[in-house]
Amino acid sequence: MPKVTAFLEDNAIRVDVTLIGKCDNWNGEAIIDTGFFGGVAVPINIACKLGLDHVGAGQILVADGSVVTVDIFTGGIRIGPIVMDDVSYIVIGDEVVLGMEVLKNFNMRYDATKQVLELEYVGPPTVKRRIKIPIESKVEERSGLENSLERLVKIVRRLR
Amino acid sequence: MTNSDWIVSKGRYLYRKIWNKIKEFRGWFVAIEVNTGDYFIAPTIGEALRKGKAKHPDGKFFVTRIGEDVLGARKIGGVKHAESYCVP
Repeated sequence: MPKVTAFLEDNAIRVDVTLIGKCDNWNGEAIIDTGFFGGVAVPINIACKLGLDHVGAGQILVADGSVVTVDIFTGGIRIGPIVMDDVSYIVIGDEVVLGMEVLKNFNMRYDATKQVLELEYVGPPTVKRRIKIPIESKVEERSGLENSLERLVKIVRRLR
Repeated sequence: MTNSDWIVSKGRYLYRKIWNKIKEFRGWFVAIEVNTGDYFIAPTIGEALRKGKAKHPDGKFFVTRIGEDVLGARKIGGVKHAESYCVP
């Protein structure tokens, strides 16, 4: 599996990335943030340069407690040899940040002595979701089945 | 009102309409196509948008985290979880 190394710098772990847009690419460092829910957060000047696909909007709660509307785009990203398409981009802040949507594809191991983070590409995770069956439908299913079984048992007993 | 504000206000209206159908997926993301009302659920924003774009290539989507009023929270150096913004 391909591996990429990220370095601790200015109290943040940074990795070299290439952001891929329709018009242009951008090479530089991105901060790894496992608490960020999105794919990539980019400043407005980089987003304009890239020419990303505008797909919609959403709202984000910012540090001062206010809710702001943000535009959502999609684009590609290259981290080392790995290229990912259709990653969500949110235009906010003044630094490029990689979020969990991208980082979910990697196994991460931090070496404290060397102060490096090794990212090993493993691909998208397989999501297993527990689906709760509503109690009402369970009762309905059970009662229907039980009723027919009970009838069957009664018929068999009568026949005996 | 900007285009994004319109997407958000229309999307929020549609989100409240479909809430009962999607509340099982609390914590995942929903992308709602604001012109048709079609919605797509996935564990990440990118996946939800990918599903949506497959059906509506030119569609505009309102994206939010299911069970919260916002996508998430963003602050310098990390993200604060927006527990206090639960809906409805």
